[in-house]
Amino acid sequence: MEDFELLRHITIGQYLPGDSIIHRLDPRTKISIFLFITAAVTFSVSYTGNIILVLVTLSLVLLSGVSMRYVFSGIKPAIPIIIVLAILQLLLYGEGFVPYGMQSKTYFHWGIIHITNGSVQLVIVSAMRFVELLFLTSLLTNTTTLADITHGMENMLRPFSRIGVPSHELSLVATIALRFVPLLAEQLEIIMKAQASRGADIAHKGKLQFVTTARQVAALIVPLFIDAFRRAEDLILAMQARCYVGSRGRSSYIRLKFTGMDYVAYTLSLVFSVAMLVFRNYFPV
Amino acid sequence: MTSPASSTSWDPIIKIEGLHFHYNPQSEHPIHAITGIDLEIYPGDYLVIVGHNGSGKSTLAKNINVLLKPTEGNVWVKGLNTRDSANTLAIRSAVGMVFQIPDNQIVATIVEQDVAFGPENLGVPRSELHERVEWALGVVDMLEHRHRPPHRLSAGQKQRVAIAGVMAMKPEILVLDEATSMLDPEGREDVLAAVRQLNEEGVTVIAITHFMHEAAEGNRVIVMEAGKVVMEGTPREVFSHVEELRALQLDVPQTTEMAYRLNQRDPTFPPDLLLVDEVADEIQRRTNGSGGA
Amino acid sequence: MSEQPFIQINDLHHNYLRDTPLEVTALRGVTMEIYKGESVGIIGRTGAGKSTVVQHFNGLIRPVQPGKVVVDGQDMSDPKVDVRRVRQKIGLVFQYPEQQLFERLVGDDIAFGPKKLGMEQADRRERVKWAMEMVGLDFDAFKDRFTFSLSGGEMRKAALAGVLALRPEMLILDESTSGVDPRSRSELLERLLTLHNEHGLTLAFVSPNMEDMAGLVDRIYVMDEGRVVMSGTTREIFSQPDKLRAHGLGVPQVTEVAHGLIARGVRVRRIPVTVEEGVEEAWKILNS
Repeated sequence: MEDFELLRHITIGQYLPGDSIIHRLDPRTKISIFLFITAAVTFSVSYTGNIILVLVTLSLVLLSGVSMRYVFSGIKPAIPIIIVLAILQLLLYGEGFVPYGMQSKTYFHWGIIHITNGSVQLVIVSAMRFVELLFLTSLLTNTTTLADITHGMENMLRPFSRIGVPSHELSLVATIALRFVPLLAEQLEIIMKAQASRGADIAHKGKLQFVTTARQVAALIVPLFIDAFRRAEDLILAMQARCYVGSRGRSSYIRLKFTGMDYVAYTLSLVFSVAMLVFRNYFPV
Repeated sequence: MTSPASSTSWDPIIKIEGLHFHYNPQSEHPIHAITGIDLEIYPGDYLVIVGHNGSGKSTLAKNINVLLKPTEGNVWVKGLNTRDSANTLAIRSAVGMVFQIPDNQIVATIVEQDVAFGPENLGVPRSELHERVEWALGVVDMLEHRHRPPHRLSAGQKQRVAIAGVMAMKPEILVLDEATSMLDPEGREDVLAAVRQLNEEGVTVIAITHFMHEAAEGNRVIVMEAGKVVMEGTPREVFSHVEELRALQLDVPQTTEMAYRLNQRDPTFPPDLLLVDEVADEIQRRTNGSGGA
Repeated sequence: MSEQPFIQINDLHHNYLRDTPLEVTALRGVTMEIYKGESVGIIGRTGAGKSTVVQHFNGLIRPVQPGKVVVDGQDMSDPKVDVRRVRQKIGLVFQYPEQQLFERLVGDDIAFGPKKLGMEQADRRERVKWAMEMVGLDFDAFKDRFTFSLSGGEMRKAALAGVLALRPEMLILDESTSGVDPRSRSELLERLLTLHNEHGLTLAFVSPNMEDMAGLVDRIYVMDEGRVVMSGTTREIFSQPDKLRAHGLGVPQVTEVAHGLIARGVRVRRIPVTVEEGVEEAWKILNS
């Protein structure tokens, strides 16, 4: 049976109101934590390092009060692909791959398939890193409104505007895009329903609908694009009518302010990430 | 019914002289959308512009806040000529405009931040920004929704947010370009109530609509056809010309049509009634007590 | 009527964004029926659930327990129902239908439905011609025009023709006259009435505007907050302006005049729903 409700499946990035310590942090702090710890995760290839990172990111998510079930629900559609990739990694990556902290040892060998302790380590570490990134993303996007994330990023980019980075314009582009995504999703739903009402075969769940012809896609994209452009035209008029002339001379309604907690969180995450990076090659296993 | 225009000044706040506007003037087929308009709008007026699609109503509105510039003739807003680009910002902050599609006017992802957009553009200092946002949301009765994302609001609520966003710039003139045509009756009533209140507080209102019964809100009505003003007067005066309006393929409010048709059967029946109560009163007065509860 | 209703809905419930923290209830137990050949109105303010209900009529939304939806004898909760057959019988026109056109040429867009039905080229052409005639678009003049070069009104007609080309037995118009100027609106509604009167097309109109309903529909269901709160003939519904107002709806001015007269102690024999009826009734009153 068909399922037209597109918005139902977007769980990643959804803001969930709350009053935890994490919720109350300045968006710039949360963005920085995200960036710092992601850097640490990127270079972490050992079991130990990743166990530490999993525990740290897990405790942060628990601190934010977001339910685990919700955090993992977003990746449900991706699970089949993840499993396939994991199996491929396990079977094919072993050859020539030197595992961290141990001698290479082959468990099973047949043709191009090499299951070694290296490929096993790779699969497990990849899984752990995936979970860490999932936690970090949830930490940022489930506890911070998109508006705040945009303001935070604009604020952080502002010093670079002197060398030509258009921080205000980028932030406005991001805001408008975020503002219109749900509207375009709704419009797409209507277009799909209108075409289905005329006999088109759309949005079938449960069948392997991989084969959608270019025609079918065009039939959805064309009216959607036209709708998007129409909205853009209207929006331009409205912005002009409201005296938008660019960033020159603009004031700001929002003021971001650091509290003591922000300094603490910022420093701790920075120190932690630097430590993880510096010591990444010194872990036993 | 609104109180009559209480102009504190004899000078028109908007003066339009010999206005012509062409779309694509350089092309082979320019569209002559405004074919000669002279019009004066006074402070405190509530002017309603009616006319069917293609009559030039929207084009006229956009010539007032410099979204379009005249191809011939002149438009002065508060004494500033729209042709002079140096005046554009000043004019646009004096003429607030609300458009037909509520969603396509809202920029931000949170209501109060969108209302702040206009005054932010004007460089209004932060402390005053907060005051203005609160005041504007209060006028349209949307304060309790200030922290909500716009896509969770009804169309009528979104339109009120759009009005707040425009009023936060403290314009003297509010232009509504078919701002109620996509709303349900409740939404329309909420918007009209907000606009009524603003007009009572002295804001000059120019409302473009194709809903005839909304035209009764104003103290002046102009009827446009093919880029010109073809009828002008109070709502009562204009709507009593039922035949002329019908020839222009425009409706009149049902009340006026009733009065007109009854007048055709009985010439003593007044043809220029506008309000439901007026018609009911007139009929009741003539029933010689032949009614019973 | 002793016959089976064309569409029967019982105790229908529906939630949007099910199983997410943002779940919202749209329908809380709706029961209604529509018989063949009728013209029915479903009115209510925005958010009342009207669109959700009619999207069950052609299977875009399937019923969840305990609700039951039976369309032309078929139980719509059965996954084996041939939905495309249902959609041929029941055409649905959405709000702003002109925004759903996608083919380059007008004729091709209108032919989309017939093509999906598997009709042959020659039959398709006839069908498209018929549909265009029904909406007032000249076949030869418009069939090879670029879709997006048409005016808004012409696009709307083309979109409607695209649905009529399926030759449905029933047509649902979901706020399809929203934002349309009065002249185009009455033209559109007149054509639909012709189809109803002369071709037996069953009609369902969804709208928040009472004025749209007068003279158009025989029966009205009033919805609010996911439920049917009033139902009856057009005249019966129009006779209760206070109740309608409580549900965020109004009545046409001419009906308001009648109620104003009643409030002033004047006897009104028949509540008028159109201006013609209002003038007749007033004349009777003035001359009694």
